[in-house]
Amino acid sequence: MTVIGTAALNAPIYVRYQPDIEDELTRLSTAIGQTPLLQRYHPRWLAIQLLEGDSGLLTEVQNAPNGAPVLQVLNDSQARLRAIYNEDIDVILTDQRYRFVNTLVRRVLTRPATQRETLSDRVDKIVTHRLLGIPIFLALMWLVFKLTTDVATPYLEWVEEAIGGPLTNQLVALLTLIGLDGTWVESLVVDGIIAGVGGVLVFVPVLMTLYLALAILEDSGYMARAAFVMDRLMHILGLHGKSFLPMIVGFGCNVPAIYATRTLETEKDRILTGLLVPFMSCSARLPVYVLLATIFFPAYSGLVVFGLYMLGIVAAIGLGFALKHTLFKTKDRVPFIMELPPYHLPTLRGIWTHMWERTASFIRRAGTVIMATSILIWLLMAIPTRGDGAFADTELDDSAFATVAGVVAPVFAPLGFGSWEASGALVTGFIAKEVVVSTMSQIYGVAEEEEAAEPTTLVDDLGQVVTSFAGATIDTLRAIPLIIGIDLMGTEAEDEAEPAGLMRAAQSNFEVSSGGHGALAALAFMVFVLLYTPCVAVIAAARQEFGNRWMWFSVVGQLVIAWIAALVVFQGGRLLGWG
Amino acid sequence: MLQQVLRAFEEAREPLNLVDLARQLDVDQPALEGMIAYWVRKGRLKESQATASSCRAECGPTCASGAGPCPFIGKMPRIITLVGTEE
Amino acid sequence: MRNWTIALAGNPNVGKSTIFNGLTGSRQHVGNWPGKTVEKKTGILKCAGQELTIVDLPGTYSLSAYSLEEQIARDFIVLERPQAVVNVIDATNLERNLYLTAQILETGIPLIIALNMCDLADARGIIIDVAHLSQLLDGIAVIPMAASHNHGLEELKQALVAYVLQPSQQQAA
Repeated sequence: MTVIGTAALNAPIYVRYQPDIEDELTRLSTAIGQTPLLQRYHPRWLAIQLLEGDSGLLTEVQNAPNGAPVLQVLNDSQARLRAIYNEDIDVILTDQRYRFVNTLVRRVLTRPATQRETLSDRVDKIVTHRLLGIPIFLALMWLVFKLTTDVATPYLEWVEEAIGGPLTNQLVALLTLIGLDGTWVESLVVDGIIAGVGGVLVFVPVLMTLYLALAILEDSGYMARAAFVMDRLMHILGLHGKSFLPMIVGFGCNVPAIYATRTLETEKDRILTGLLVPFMSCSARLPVYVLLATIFFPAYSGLVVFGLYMLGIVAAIGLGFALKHTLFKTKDRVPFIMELPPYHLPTLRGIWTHMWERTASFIRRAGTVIMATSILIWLLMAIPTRGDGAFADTELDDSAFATVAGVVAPVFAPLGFGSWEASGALVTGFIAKEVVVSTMSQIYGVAEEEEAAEPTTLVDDLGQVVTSFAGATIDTLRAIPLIIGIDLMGTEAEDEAEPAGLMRAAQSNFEVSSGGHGALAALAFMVFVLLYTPCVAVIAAARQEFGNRWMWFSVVGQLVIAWIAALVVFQGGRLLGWG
Repeated sequence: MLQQVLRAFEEAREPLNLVDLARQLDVDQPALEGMIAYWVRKGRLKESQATASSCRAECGPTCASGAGPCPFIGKMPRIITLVGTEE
Repeated sequence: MRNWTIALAGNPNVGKSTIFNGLTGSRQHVGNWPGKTVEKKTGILKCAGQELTIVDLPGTYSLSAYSLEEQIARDFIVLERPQAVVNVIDATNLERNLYLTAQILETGIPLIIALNMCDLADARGIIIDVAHLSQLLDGIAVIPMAASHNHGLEELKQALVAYVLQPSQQQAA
């Protein structure tokens, strides 16, 4: 390598500032040169630091004997320069240093013509494109939900069979062994815990698939682009851009999304975003959609789930737009710069960690909150308030739960789901959205008393679990190519198997309450679940972050919006002759 | 240079990507980072990044993800905004 | 013979440590900066009958004393006044690195630029006109290097020795 410029290094080289600044630097250096104690510093360097307002060195000058004349010159210089530049002097000096460097670089550096276009840049040009960005986001989300519903369904059925068959059988056998069969304890275990907690755990494969897809999108760096694209849309609509980041968090769970609004600058923006976050469909709502969509729209369940998520986004943006022009008027729209992290291939380990942590959180909730609510609901369903039933042996229609839920039911009658069963599930759903599913599973599970199971052995049961898992895997593998529209297996138009047990009970219940428009009522029900209060934890978070007043505003607003939207879906659909 | 960065923030009409801003100003991205760091220190720009916080402390018992950080907050992109233009 | 001190300055992660090790070999002393918890590495470079003390300054982006590292680097250059500063620069990242250079120039301490990672810059097709850079900086030494491949280390040593053997430096000594 050739060494350049072995010339003397001794000639001083400086960044040359604007003449007016250089004048002041000369004045200051001279004054510094006349102060003996400051002579350990290079005068021009010290002059620059003092002009830039370095507090440590300023103190040193103040403490130096004969420092006063230097301070005098400094004050005069600063006053003159401030009058000229109308800006902090360190900004001016730093700016000129950067200009010096930039000029230097422009003169000595040649970049290859193609270097600026990295692969990441090229992908971003398409993915964050002004027009293509949003359709790409929508297409990816559609793929996610298609994957979630199609791929996970066989496993869902497997878990359902495993819990409903072998697990229940073995537990009942155990209870029989200790002489508790036929007592309220068996009812608590089977109709309370297994139906409730089990009814939620059935959806673990669905949630895992969703978390897997989200983890891939996050770890690859795509989610940041999605937020960027959506933020730009929101910005065009006059909304504060940065809002969409918390909202993307909301896809997983609304609670951290509420806390994530802290990244916004003003209280107004924080509250506004906090009001919109609950419309982002969190993962706990997914089981409700999947359950009802499989019953009522078996061929289009992916599309229905996707549609609901999109409706949530549209509702959030629409409400944001309305509020921004009424309660939350501000002049400024603050643009911002986002660092889009470079794309990278997600690691299996990273994706697994993400997916597992979230799934574990879902399972833990099933074991705690859902367990407690299931027991409480079982208790309410076990207490007779009418008729001649006894504790844990009463017609459901006569139970305390039916009585209480029946009071609320008329409110939902115009929406097509005015039964005590549906309204009961919605009322308990305030606690958490999984509870809607666990309650339904408890109600419809009991309503559809299963035929007396034949006694089975543990070995038979385990064998059944294993073989049906293999069957589920085969079904899933067959489902994957179908997602992108390739029919590898020449799948025979899968004749829709008659929905069994729980599903049949739910179906007939919706048919009755809607006067024969079951599917429409179910759709309205899902829209209501999407839009009304997500869970008590979100209410608590909203209260902590925004205060009581906004918390109530949020809860009441969501109920009203959910009710109206469900009404529009049900009545509008009926007018149009759907369902 | 430094002032052009601030002006670019003031004049932006929509959210910008850091890479695009560097290209627009014709500076290297790392050099731009240096200038942004300067303005952040001066209090004219603000950087923010949502970070995962402990779930137990914030979400209460219904979240129940254990004591660890909330699993639902992934790595959030860094955002830089102008300070002091809001009411 | 006089005791020469040369400071090694540069941004973080520009290969400063590699160059430090290359210059001093095993003749190193590791301690802390007085009163600070920041590591201080000094070493001896023996070359052409000369002995130079090399001090590795903490990696910093500027000399503005906003952080402990910047404070240490700045105080050493300004108060200890080494005979020269070797400013290690990442050739792939010239613009950000040169800001520190501009600030070191202002201290009035003679400067040598070690333009490191030239191999990476080459690979990316970045062409730096080293002669022109030197010329624009009033002829200071700019030494292209790829320290991780031991390229340019000898040249840097030569430049340091040539510098201390200059007539003007010899007079000062």
